Amino acid sequence: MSWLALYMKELRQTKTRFLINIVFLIILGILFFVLTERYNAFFITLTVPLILVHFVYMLVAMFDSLRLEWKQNTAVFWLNIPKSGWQLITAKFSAAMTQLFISLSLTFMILYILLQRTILHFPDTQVPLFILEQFQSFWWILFSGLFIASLQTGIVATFIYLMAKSIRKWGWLLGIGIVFGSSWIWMKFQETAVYRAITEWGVVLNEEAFMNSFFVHFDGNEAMMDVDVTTDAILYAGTAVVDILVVAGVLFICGWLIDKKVEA
Amino acid sequence: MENMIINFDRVSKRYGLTSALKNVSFQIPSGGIIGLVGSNGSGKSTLLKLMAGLLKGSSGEIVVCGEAVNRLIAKKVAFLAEVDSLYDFYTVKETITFSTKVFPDFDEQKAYQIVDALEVELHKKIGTLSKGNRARVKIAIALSRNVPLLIMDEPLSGLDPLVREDIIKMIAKYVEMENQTLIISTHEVTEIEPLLDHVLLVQSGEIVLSERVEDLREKRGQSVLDAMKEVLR
Repeated sequence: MSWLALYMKELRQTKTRFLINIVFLIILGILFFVLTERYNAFFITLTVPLILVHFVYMLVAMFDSLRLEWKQNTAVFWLNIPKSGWQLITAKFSAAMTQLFISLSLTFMILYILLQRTILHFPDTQVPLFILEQFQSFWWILFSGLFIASLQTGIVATFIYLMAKSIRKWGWLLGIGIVFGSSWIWMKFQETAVYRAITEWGVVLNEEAFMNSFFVHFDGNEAMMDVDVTTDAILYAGTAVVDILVVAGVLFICGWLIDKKVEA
Repeated sequence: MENMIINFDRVSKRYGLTSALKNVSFQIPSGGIIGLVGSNGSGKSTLLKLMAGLLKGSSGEIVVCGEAVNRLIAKKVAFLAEVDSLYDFYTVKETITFSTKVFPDFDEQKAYQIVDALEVELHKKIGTLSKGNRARVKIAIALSRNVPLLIMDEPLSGLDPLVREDIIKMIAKYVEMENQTLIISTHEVTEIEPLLDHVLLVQSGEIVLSERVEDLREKRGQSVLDAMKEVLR
């Protein structure tokens, strides 16, 4: 109940920024639609940066949400709420995550509509049709990949901001240092057998299925047919689960920082 | 020995190279209203935030309500900041509803009763209220928490005499003296002196006087203001 109240508060507090975000997306969607319909179908490529910018969505959202508490002097009220730091920070994080989900879904819808419409405008429809089919088959992989990557940038922003509020003057720098250091350690860990053991389960996509999507489309293309295809996995659900668990782990640390170190 | 609600043991607080509190030790008995008096920049806000777990001491030990202080002392301590700290996008009614949900100790009925007595419009957004009404709502929220320790940082600061009078009346009426201790900071002691049971005088980050107001009057024949003048001279 209280967590829900905190979550609703976060949505309300960031409502203006989110509405601007959505209106901006809709305007851009209409603009791209007009550009592709009236001028050139290649204007559809403008949607790529629109999708990629969601990579830093959580970073901006979390930084802004925390900054607002201190800027508007509500941090003293927020930090005086007798709920664990975990509850306070997960309410913020979940609200930002909800907004990311809506914004990213809307962007994917815009891209899908534009892809469907622009096919008709290309002289040769084979390539655009191929792209549309690939999008229909694999959009959810791109969506979840971006979503999780954005969560990771969000947790980095949260950690650095809270470090800045825990250790005066140089906390932010120490936070950045810890992020770089732990990222390097994590990269090294990814090369180990232990990492493979905990992540390589639940095949989401294997090489054969991926290459088949090419073969089906470019049927009769001899060069493509000669490629030696294995059944090796390309993507595992385990990787996504571990990435999300790491985000949850850092959120837990952030909750601890709020309870023990952060100053109003 | 009296039951102590606050115990500071050699507490110091530095902001970078600036020392805000210097090796401060004192105890505050539970119950009643305690005035934390001192000039601007004397360290009053730092002391109060340390008690509420909103700042960390650089050294020393702070025990409040029998617990070593961290932010989670908020279960037992309600903190009212000098600045406007309520969410300005909520209406007064929504602020009370939100407080009811997030503070397990919140007395919703009492909050409505106080706000109603002060004739603050429930459907107005906090951000659109006058400064005086924002202060009234802020204090109504703090007073509606059933916690052993209420901390108010300069609740009268920058307000006109009518609002100050309202606030003093609210404090006198709604603080539950049997179960609650109120620590109130101010640099203008005269107005709240009749309410005070105990006074702490802070100067340049040090406690220079800690005395029961009754003792000041009976043993020294002084008012709080007189004692302040004597100590600060």
